[in-house]
Amino acid sequence: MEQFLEKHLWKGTVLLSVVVVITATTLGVADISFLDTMKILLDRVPMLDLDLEGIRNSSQTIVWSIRFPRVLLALLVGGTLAICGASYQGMFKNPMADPYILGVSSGAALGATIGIVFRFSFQFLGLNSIALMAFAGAILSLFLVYNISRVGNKVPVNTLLLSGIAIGQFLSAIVSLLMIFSDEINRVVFWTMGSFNAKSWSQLFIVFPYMAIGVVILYAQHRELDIMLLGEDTAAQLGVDTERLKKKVLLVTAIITGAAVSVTGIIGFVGLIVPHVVRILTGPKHKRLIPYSFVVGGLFMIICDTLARTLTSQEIPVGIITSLFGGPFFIYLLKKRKKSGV
Amino acid sequence: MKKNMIKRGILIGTLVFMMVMAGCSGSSDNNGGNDGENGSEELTAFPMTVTDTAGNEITIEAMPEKIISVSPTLTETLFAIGAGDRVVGRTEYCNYPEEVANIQVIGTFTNPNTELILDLEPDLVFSSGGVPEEAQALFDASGIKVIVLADSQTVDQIEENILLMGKVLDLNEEAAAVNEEIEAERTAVKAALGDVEPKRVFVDLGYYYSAGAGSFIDSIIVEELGAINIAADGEGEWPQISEEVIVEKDPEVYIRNVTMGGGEAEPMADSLQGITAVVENQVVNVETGSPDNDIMTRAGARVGQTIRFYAEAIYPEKFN
Repeated sequence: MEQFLEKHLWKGTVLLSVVVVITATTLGVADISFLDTMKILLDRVPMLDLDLEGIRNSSQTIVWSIRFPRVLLALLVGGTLAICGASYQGMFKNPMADPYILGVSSGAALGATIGIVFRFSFQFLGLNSIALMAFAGAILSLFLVYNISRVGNKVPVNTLLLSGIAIGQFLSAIVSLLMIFSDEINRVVFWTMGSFNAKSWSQLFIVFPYMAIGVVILYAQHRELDIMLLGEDTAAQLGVDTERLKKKVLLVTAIITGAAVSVTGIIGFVGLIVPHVVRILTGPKHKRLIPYSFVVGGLFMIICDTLARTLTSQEIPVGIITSLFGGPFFIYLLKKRKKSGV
Repeated sequence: MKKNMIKRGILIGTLVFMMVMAGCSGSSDNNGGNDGENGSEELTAFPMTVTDTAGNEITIEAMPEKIISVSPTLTETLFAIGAGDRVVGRTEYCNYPEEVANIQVIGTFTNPNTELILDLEPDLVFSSGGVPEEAQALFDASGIKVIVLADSQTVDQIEENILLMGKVLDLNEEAAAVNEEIEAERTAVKAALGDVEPKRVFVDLGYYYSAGAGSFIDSIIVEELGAINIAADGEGEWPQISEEVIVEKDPEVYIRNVTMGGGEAEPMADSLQGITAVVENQVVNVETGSPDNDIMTRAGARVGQTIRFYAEAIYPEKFN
């Protein structure tokens, strides 16, 4: 019976995701009818050859090169941020943990700010200098935090969290300092608010492999993460190689988060809150928490980004939307749960 | 906005010169009608009262000898009308003309340093933005006058501001001469264009930030050159336009600010490869931070060059 539910819940979730992706693609500031959008999308399916007569070339570009990859990227970034948040919360046994807690976002912001302020201009694998600097900054900051926290070959979780916060604050201060002395201040500010504007297939293809592998690796840790919820010592006694697990999770999340941040900037809230929402629905077991966090995070991000690009004729950074709409919704869920006494 | 009270303190032994100019300089044919005064026929006499763009009435007691400019645009204009030798303070971004390099920096235009300004003891501060209350109080106490000239939205407004600066600094003729140059350029460009088919233009100031309605760049593209600015209906003066809108409106000319690494501009986004400007090779790259970049975006004394820059970028076929 439970398995039956499980199967069908999954089917329903996949169906819902497809509906959200397609609906989001049909929405936008350019006026393209639902039917035309569907035609343009379906025409790309091999073996289907639709008649695109009468649809402007610009409409095809908008749907296929701008909106659709952007929606998919939002799904991917939202989903992976939520999974990183879920894994961190389990590993640190801390409900406040999010993908950025170890200073990864500040490191990325510093990298990007250096790229913006000093007007770096180089390309590598189709990524611009700012994205590459952000990625490098993210990885380096985590490496720094890890090595500061290391005692022998052990990394106590609390030390990790504290040094992560300290390094994060320190790097943020450098970012602020650079901003004060630069006339590119608004670009830096906008970068730190995150945006999917002007993202297309190339960015999607670059980050996809990292993220896909990362998701698989994190999912494979679901049992160990469950045991970690009992506390690190207990988990070690039960035969979990906690140090190895931490290394794995830290490295994978850093790479995923770094990849996400490098193409979209810093988008807060999703990684922190989505896992909690999903826990309310599925319970704390990571076997379900991780995949459902991915889906909910991804769909939430698509909805927020669709709002970000359609509310006004100007783009609103999506990071603003995630917190603006996500915050009240989450508080409502918390209140409701209190009442029902779950 | 607080009205500046005329200081009733003792005027410290200031002789008020009644400078009588043989003031019959060539009046340029624009008169945006600031309070019905015609700047070029004005006899500069101190004390005088002027109204700045923020609506403040400022009384200038005597010829200002030491000026601080808190905006690159205003600094350029001061030098253009021959007041450069009186400028004792400038912002970090003031980079034109070259002589500004020797002038003391008083901070950035978003964040000028009040202490430095007070220390330089200027008679007059030109600013393009409002002055914080607490700084204004200090300036008032020190007898420093502040004239706010917000970034103009049209060429006519730029000329009015130039006249106002000339009037306050007793450089009426020089200011009128600067305006004549602007007018000459304006007329020449209009003549060169004749009756052109309006082209659709997108100005990308970086990251798809553009010049919307109410910006002076929009006014140049639309009013001076008769072209179509596809960012005109964005939100506010400097909207960020989404790629979707750019593709849909399909600009025929794409003028972009771009960082260049080794002379190579960053390539345009894949999704923009199909727009007419890219297909027909009508993308004009201007390196961020280059002199052309300043001409593109400054509403000051060089606006004649600005008009010409956009005209040549949009209608190159008319200028060969």
